[in-house]
Amino acid sequence: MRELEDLFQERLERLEAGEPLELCLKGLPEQEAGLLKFAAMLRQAPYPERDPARATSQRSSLLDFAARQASPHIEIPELYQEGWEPAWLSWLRERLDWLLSRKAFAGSLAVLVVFSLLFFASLWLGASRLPLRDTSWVRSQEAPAIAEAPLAEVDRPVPGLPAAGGTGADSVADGRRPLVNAAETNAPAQAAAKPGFTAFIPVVSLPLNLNPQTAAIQDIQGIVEVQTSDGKWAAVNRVGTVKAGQRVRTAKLSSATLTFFDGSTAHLGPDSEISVDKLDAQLPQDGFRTIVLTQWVGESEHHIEFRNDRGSLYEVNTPAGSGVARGTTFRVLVTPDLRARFTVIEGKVDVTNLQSTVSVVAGQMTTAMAGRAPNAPHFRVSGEGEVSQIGDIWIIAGQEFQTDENTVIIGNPQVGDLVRVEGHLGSNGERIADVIILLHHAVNNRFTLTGEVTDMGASTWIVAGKTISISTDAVIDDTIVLGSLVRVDGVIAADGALVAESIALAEQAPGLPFNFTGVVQIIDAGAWTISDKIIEIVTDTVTTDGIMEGDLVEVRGWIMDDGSWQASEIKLVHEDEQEFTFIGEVETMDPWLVAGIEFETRDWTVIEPDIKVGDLVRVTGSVLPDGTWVAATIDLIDGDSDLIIVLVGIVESMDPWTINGITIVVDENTTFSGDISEGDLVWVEIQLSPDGTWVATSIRAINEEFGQGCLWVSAVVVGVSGDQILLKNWPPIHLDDDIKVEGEIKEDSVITFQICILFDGTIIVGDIIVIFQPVIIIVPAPPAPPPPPPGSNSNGNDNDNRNHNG
Amino acid sequence: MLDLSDAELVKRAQGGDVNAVGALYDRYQARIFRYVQSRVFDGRLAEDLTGEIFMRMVINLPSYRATGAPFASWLYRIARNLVVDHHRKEGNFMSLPIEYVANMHDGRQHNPAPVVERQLEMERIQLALERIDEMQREVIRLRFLVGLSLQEVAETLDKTVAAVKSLQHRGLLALRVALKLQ
Repeated sequence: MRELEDLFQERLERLEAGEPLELCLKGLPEQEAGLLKFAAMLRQAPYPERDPARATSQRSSLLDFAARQASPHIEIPELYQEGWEPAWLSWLRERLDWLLSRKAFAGSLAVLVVFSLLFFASLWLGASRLPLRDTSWVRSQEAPAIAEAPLAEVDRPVPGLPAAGGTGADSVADGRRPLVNAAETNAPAQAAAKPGFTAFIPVVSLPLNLNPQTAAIQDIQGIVEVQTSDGKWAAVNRVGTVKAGQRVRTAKLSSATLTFFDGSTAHLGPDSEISVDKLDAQLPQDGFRTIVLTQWVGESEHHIEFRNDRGSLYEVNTPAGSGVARGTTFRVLVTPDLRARFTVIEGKVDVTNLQSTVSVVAGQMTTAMAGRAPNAPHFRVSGEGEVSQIGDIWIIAGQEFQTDENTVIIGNPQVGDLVRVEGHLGSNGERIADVIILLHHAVNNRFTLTGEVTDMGASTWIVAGKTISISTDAVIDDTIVLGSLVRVDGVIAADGALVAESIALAEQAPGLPFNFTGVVQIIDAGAWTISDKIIEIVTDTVTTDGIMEGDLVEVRGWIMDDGSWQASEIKLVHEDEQEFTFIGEVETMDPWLVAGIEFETRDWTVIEPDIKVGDLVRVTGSVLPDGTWVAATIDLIDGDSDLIIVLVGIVESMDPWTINGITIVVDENTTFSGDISEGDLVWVEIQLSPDGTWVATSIRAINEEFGQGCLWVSAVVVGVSGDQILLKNWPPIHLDDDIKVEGEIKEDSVITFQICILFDGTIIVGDIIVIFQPVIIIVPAPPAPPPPPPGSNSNGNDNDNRNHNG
Repeated sequence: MLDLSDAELVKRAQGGDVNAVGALYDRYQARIFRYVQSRVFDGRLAEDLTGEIFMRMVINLPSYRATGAPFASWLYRIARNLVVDHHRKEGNFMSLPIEYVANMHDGRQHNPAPVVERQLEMERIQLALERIDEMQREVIRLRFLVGLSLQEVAETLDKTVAAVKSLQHRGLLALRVALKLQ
């Protein structure tokens, strides 16, 4: 078989190189010859041509776009460009190549060498701060659009917001917060005037053009914005920069990392805002590092490069105090009521307010409030585990945690569920829980029940003989009556009670249920976009009043048979109830990256086996307070391998099933909706079987039972009569003033249009677009035969006639 | 500009040369459109997606590195991902003009005009393509509709040349059978 494939490929390549087909066919076995002819036919198949005007217009737009992109250009560092690396690096690279070619040996050693090489190269480049070969060329790549504000504007107040250098923190802090003055801004201005250079910063995934007066905004998730010098907020897409006088903020379920020139980083969690007050992050050999930030709200985590000098400063101001560190890792939380919590992971941080300073060391935290000195630090405790007891005393992962009125419990966790707990040690060593967050419902904590409703009380129902508690959040179909067959989904409470989350008529569930929490991005009349998902809004959709773009909402509804997501309820949720569900392609698995979203897994994360890079998966989980996304489940879902063909047409016969002249196989798996008779208009979903048969997976009558929905159809025009268009295998369409027509409709035109079906069965036709216009070809009359030569036979040449007919 | 290799054009485009971006567009736009059209069955949509693919090309050019894989493969990966995204967002539905479907199925062709015949021939091939294995289909599309080389297809699909050769062979066999069944 392999030989035949090789032979076929050799001939195909000759054909593609321009050799005549006849020559390429010589000596080929019959089957391969047939395939080659087939391939030749495919190569000459009549491919659709582009509209030249459209292509030209698109090209013009593309070039404009490219020109705009040229400014914030991310450059490949010259470290990797040919002809520049020093001899020792070339030698090392050759040895590395050799190692990599030894498969059995390469493995971990090669990876170790690569990382070592990159590490030392980055250190070496950072230490020597080599001006690279063509600095003028590199300079031209600097100065991204958002970093254009002159340094003199550092203290300029921003309309509608407190001045970058004052208010907020100043009003409550102890006055030690430095102000930016002209002398201080002079140094960075001089530094900025130096020739630009490309820096490769350790721990940064992308090399960026930076200088000590700018910080990169990276690892962006969700909505991240930077405030420009004119006070406007501009969204940052993949990467951006920020400098002194600017602010960065994140929306719900969003996060970003600021990376400074010396390698220090500040990671912003969801719903956070930070201003860069002073920024001159010089490398140790070049001077002091000065980074002064003000965190107005939200959460941040700071990793600070250690500096063994007394002149460097890394300071995070908050409305309730300031934290100063030299080289450490710490977190800052600022709540809307202006309380600040400093938690130290490594090293030491001095927290100051009202001229009182406490030193917080690794493992400790302190809380500061406006107008008060910081609390004495106490040790923090956090972890994740299974709940085995709830109440005043919770037992999580076998450890006791006390709760009180200040404990925040998110997600109504029950015994058996997995939670994250964060807290601190009390004066007697007891563990006190500050927050308990549901991470994952225990599988055996949920139930699904289908049965007849025999009692409908205010707080409990009886379904299939079981007592069901009705929670206040339960979504209940209001058409359910006593005797209805219903499906109940819910959780099993700690006391064994069955608590319903949703109850729907079993035979009328319009599709698969969905439920997720996301950020509202676009609100339109008929559809909202929530966390990149388009959600249809119908008349029955219940929404909380006052929802605005940017709000965090919980959406429940049904995935309809046509693939659309229809909301039954959208409600505002508490900002801490941050659960997510999304679908995307697996980009990497260590760390996990799906659809551009990086998330973590835990021992308890349920991951479907055999998932690999490139697969389409559904991920569900929770967003931790620090912005970390933790997956609870990762399920493989089919990609585009299960394409379904949708037909809309007239039922011509039902035994066998024929729709619009097409014979459809109907088997025991085919589902039917509505009363269907011959002559009815139906919606059919068809799966192509491997043997070529067309098997209907569902047939639905298009009438009032179809419910609200729209679909696109295409049809051939068989006649036009006044304002009526007659279509093949389709009811006539009556044109009115509301229907716009793009193109000229005439007989044999192929048109496409959208129809929407209302609940009362009314069909509304949308705009009509002519997608194909018949071409009238005038066939010229055959030329008159030449007059026969004198004396010839009037019957002509018989052989010629046979050839033409043959 | 026309005589420059892909690698040279890419390098210039990465350096901010807008004309190089234009040259890359000129070189690939027709084939990219053909590929997209073969997967979405909708000329207007294919036009839009083609434009978006080149936008993504511009956005991602700075991170593209010439590692030996042809630029064409990189570009077709962008195209492929975008089309997959599109199908995902649209709920995996493939919408075909109903009349063409009917014609394809029972073999009736009502309009003898050559233009229509050509279009129907293309539709016939596309419908038959939908009946064969997904990976074989992708190889056939990239090899014969788009005109990529075996090497380029292998890079695009992350497969070996030998695997692509095999998929091509089996795909052609399957496609021929599928066309005969229509």
